[in-house]
Amino acid sequence: MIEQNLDQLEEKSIYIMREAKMKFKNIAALWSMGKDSTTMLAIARKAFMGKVPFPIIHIDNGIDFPETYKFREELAKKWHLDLIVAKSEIKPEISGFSCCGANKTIALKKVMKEKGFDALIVSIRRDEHSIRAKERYISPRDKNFKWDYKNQPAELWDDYSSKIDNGGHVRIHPLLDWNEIDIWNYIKREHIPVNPLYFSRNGYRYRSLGCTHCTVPIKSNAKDLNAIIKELKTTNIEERSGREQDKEKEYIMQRLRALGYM
Amino acid sequence: MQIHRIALLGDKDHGKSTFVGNMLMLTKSISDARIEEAKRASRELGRPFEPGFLLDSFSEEREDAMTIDTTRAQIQYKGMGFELIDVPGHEELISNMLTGASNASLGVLIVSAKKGEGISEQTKRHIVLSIMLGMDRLVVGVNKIDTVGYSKGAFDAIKDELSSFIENIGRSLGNVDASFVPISAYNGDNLIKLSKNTRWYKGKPLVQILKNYAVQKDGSARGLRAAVQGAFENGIACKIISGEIKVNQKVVALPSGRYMKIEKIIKAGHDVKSASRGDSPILVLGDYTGIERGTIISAENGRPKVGSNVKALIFLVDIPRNPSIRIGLQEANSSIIIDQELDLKSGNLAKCTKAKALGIYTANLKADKKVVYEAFRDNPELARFSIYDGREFAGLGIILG
Repeated sequence: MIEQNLDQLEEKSIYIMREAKMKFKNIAALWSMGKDSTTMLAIARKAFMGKVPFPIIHIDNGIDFPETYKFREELAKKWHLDLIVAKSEIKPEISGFSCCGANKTIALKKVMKEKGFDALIVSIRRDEHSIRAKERYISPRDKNFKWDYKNQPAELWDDYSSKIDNGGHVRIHPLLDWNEIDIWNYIKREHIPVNPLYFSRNGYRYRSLGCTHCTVPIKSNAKDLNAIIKELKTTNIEERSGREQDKEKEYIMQRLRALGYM
Repeated sequence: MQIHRIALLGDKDHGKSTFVGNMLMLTKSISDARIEEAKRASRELGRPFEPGFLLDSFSEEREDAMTIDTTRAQIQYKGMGFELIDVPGHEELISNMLTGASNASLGVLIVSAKKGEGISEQTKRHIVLSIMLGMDRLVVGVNKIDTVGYSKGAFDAIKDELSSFIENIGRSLGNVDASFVPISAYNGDNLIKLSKNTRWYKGKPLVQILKNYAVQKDGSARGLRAAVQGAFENGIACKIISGEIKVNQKVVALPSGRYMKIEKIIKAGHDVKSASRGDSPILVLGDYTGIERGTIISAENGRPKVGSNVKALIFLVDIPRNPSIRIGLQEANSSIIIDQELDLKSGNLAKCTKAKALGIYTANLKADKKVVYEAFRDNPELARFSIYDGREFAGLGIILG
């Protein structure tokens, strides 16, 4: 996995977030308490002189890990986050595609409408999945949250389209250029707090965090940041290999994203 | 690690995605799971394994065997990092091609030597666009050389025609350094290692040429130009598009022409002494008169031009009814009067009055306000602009003078 220049990545992310803040009236960010969206918040603090200047949404289906909830409470307090918890329904018999696609997206639609948000910061990265690699930095969604992936706007140089369809919104992707190992190098450099589930316990750790129903840990003895970084330098396993919803069927990520999944 | 961004160029079906896919595999830059997934998808469609499926991941892209939208993939080779930017070759998807290619400093043109394929208008259009996007080094992979019996004659024919085209274009747009390699993107000939099938080829493998091109200077030593994003907290947020800025430096804000002193530079939350190209610092000045979004902060000496009438070379994706241009972070409505058309067959310019979609023209632009700009030969960063029609992207251009 290629390690990129952290200062260059950071500056680009800062530029994208400031562009978004200046162009859109009512902006919010999604926070899953995972390593990527927590890194995004840390960068936002640096971009906006020490504080995150927009509300943070957690789509909560009630079945995240206890460690995740604890981490949420602690960091929200420490960083003075304007946290919105959007409860999503969960039916135990539904998992994978239906769960992430239907339940979480419904909750997101509801909170976006209630609060009138027109732009949503989402911490996806190109190297996570070949479908995510096809995204723009600023990407419009229609009023039904649909991603018109066959008709994406042009995005030349540092000039991002700010086109919003009637009743739609835009997704802002400030971390699109980052690789998984860059995130960990940055977490180490900036001393960013992380969810303890990422570190190995009894020979296993979570490499990618979702909810308790569809995330499984990988075999790993990486107990600290240095060990995780070392592990990623040599691994040939996909980051999201422990995520149920990615593997159910071919093109599941494409369908999820087209329907408005984060 | 410094990543060198490389745009793939060339007509549809000439093998750009196959090239990128195979480069990922040959340099071991992709996981087994992704390769397995691409193999499974190829099998399900009843086709031989297609390395392009490592990039083409929409179901429509695979079923129709075409790239719809741009994507990027990173490879590592002998201590160097490259980001290969795959793009669609279809004419109707040219906006997606420009979106991808605008991020690159180097180009790899894939042109098929297969019977019935060869050099097309689209091949040449992509060459001109890559020069307009600022790529002055081009590696040409003469692809599918296996389908013509690894023939030197087929390779030479493509090389000769494109060399003279590039030389012709270079006379008006500046020199382009081009290298030609006979390759089979599918079989891997001459990508990483020299192939036994082309013993007549005396050059280096393609990746080696990329490596040599990538270490050449990229013009970051140009004068300071910073585009103002907007007022921010106790200063202005900006993006440095060329050169370097220092604390206590005397600068000039354009178009107003007011002199200012840089009192403080804040980069990622910290006070710093200087910032350079690619950075997005906050600048604290003593005086903000006349500074707004789009203002260019320039070095005192060797400053860019200010005006509303320019001569440009433009490429039109669509014919704009109410054209506007975006240059740096400036926006202005502008009329576009077509002068000459570039004939893609010969590379010559000929008088023309009416523009067509996908055409390349010299034109006179008249903006409704003063714009800060430079000629392409002086500083491409502030010479390139995009053309919009209302909120729809309609093309791009470079200012010739």
